[in-house]
Amino acid sequence: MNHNLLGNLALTGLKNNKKAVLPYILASAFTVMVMHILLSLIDSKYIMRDGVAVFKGANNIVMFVSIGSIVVGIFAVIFLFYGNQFVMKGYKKEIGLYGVLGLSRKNVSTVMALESLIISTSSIVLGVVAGAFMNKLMVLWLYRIIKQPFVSGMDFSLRGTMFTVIFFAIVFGICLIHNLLTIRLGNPIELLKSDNIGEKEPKVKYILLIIGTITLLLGYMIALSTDNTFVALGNLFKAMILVTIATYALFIAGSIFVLKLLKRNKKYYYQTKHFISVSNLMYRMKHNAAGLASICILSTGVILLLVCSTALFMLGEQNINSMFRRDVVLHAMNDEGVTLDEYDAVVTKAVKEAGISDSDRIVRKYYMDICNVSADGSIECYTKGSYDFTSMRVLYVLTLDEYNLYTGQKETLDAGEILRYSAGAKVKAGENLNIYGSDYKIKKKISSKCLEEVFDPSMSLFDEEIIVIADNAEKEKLLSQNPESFVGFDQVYVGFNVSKETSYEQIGILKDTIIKAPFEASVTYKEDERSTFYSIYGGIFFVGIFLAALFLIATVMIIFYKQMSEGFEDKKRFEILSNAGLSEREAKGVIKSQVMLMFFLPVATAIIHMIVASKIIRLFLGMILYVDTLTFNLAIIVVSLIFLGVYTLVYNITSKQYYNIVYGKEA
Amino acid sequence: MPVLEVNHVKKIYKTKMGTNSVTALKDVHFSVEKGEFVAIMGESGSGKTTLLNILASLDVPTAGKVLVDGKDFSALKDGERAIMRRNNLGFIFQDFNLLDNFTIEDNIKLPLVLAGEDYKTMDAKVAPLVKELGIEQLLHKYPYEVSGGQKQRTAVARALITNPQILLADEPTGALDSKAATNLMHQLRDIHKSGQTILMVTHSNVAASYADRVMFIRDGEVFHQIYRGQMSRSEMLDKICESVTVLMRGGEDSES
Repeated sequence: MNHNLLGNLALTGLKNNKKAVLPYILASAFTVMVMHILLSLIDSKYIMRDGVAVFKGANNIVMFVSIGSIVVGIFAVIFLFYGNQFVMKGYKKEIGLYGVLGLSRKNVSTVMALESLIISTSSIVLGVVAGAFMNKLMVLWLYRIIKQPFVSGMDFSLRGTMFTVIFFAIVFGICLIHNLLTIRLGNPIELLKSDNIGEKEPKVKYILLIIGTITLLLGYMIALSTDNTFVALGNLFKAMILVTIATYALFIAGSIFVLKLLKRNKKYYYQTKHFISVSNLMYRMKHNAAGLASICILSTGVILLLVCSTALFMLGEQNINSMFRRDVVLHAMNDEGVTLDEYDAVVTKAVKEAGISDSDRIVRKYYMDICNVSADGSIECYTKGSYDFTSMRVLYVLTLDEYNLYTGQKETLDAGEILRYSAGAKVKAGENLNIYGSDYKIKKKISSKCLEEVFDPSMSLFDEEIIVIADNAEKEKLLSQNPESFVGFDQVYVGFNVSKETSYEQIGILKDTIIKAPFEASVTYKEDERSTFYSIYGGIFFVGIFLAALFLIATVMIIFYKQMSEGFEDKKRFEILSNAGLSEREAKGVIKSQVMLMFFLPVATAIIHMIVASKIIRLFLGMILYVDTLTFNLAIIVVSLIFLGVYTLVYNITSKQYYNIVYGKEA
Repeated sequence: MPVLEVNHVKKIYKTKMGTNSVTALKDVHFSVEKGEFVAIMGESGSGKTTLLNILASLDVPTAGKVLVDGKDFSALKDGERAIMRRNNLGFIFQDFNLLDNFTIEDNIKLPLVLAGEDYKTMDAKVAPLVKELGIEQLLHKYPYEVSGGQKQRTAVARALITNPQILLADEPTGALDSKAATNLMHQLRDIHKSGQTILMVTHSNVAASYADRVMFIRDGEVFHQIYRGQMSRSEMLDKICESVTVLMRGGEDSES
């Protein structure tokens, strides 16, 4: 057959279905672009040059971006396949018609292959070109996020581009093969007689309803009852799985259940608005419940990702400042009989050698151990609690002299008396505390301030216990009762601030000098840590934003396609209603409330999920950084509002399309 | 006063560019008295459907007026027209136009619900109608579960539930087998006998023979009318067949 004709058929087919095809191309192009950007970043000379990290932590960035690109890859396959199926739905009639017109299977395959070629080529070219343009912008943005100085010059990764093109060519190829395998050169009469066969009113699936209710309650309960970072990860997974099941089950069964209840309430049901909406929704839910549940899950994912990345990012600086109270900190285990003055002297020497001007020097020593708090509140060796993380604490033991020195106070203690701070338990003066089998009388409740000059104790994963004891002899006596512990040591910290002009070379000299000292010590430099920190959190944030954008686009596409297919189904219905005397304005009202309910139900549910999950997620984030409730909740509110805004915009655009289809003048 | 007056109605369709125009209705002029049963016959393309759409206020005439109960529909706004339509007119369509996601009962109640009536009074209105039409057993079924004849009777019930001034029927027997068609026509005649004004557009000579008056439309004009007077139904049918033959012959003449 004439190949021009087949080519023309392919073009006409695309043109006739442009309402379905165009969004598909755009969404695909966006996916290609995201993939291209991520792959190019991995290869970018501004991040890794010849296998060497350009800045500290660059390998973290590469790792996160790689993980991100794998997620995008998996997602792209699912996403393009879904879109492809919708596009093909619209084609069914055309393909049948080709069959009626006498095209052979081979001809139809050619037409489809041509169409697929046009769609895939335009998507890939658009995506790759957009990706290439965006690439440098993204590098700059990434540099900004991770607080690296600006760089100039262009960047193009041939390897990334090649990989992107090949990957998507394969995905589109699989879609095409799927389409070719499912061609039906159908029977013309069947095709002309559209899907206007009546269908049964959906029944409530009670089993699913019960499963949904139980899983929702369980999931929510787990999320709400979690109050500890150690169980947060496990519980978060459990809750996520349960709530996902619940969302699907309740959207499918619960929605029909509620609608049936509404229908049974005659007073409510027999009102113009409700009458039409309730019955329409019943059928819509029957077909779309799973899709809406997917939108809900995706939306929850987007909000979750954005909230976590925003929180990580907003709290980054605060966390660094809490973790590193001094610019440079020397840390050593004091088990070699070295005196604090000797440590101080080494630091003084090293600072002088490196030519650094230091200030705010502090020298601190604490005994630090892990302990277990038994059910009756007494402190015992960590081996006793069978390593139950929830009852483990960090125990600091200070002598009274040390305490008075660090805090500038003038407390006094007799033997057998202690001062106590506890992050977990209530401390009352005058009560007794059993430590390692001996009772001590608590003389006074103190704050955790005595630790704060070196590090913020609240940054620790474990809650802390601070015990101040009369003198060294008492301390020795106490610790000798706990011979099983292998992690308890005196820890020495020497911290100081340096002037802004301090260079990395100077810090290098400082470190080298300290290493030569006659004891083992490690030195941390805040700027180093900051760089690593930002490369990790900035990387997560950066990739998180990309994934969120992709999920959002997926959501938008599902909504759009749903609206379109709904529109065609509802067109006839509203014609009949119009004949029965439903005015256009009333129809608009009915359509609006119905569509609103359909499309805001998933987001509303997603936001509720997010609110319920906020605590467990905050605790989960606690594994990597300290999250304060206010900032975190603020992040949830801001992200939810932004998401709602974008979603509303999408809703407005798509409902206009829907309205055009249902009530428009165009046939 | 006639319940329906069609005053020199003209309808011209223009193509998008406005270069070509098609005259669907040249000059249609007639009136229907209260309680009359009028059938309108004509070939496809004669302007029947256009006329019905204009009568139903779904379309606006290019010139002329349609008065229902002395009121002009075309002067109204869209929303008001919809309300006028549901208050004054009842519709029956060839393809029933039932909503497949409503039960038979809810399909019948639809106009009442649209009119915002209290749900408590609805059942009282539905009960006698469905009894008369013999569909009281089907109220909780869905359209796809009942036969074509039953669907059309549901449509009749839906059309009559608001006590309309005029019942407009567009080819009501078109999708029914002969038995169901006869049944339906008997029912329409009974409804007419109880005082209902009916205006029916049809192809079917048999269906038209149930009417008091048959109007023939050709090329957008009322071409011929037959009044039943004292004729029996079979006499009426003969007369209609005769007229149709004449009409067709005339049509051939004009073509040659």
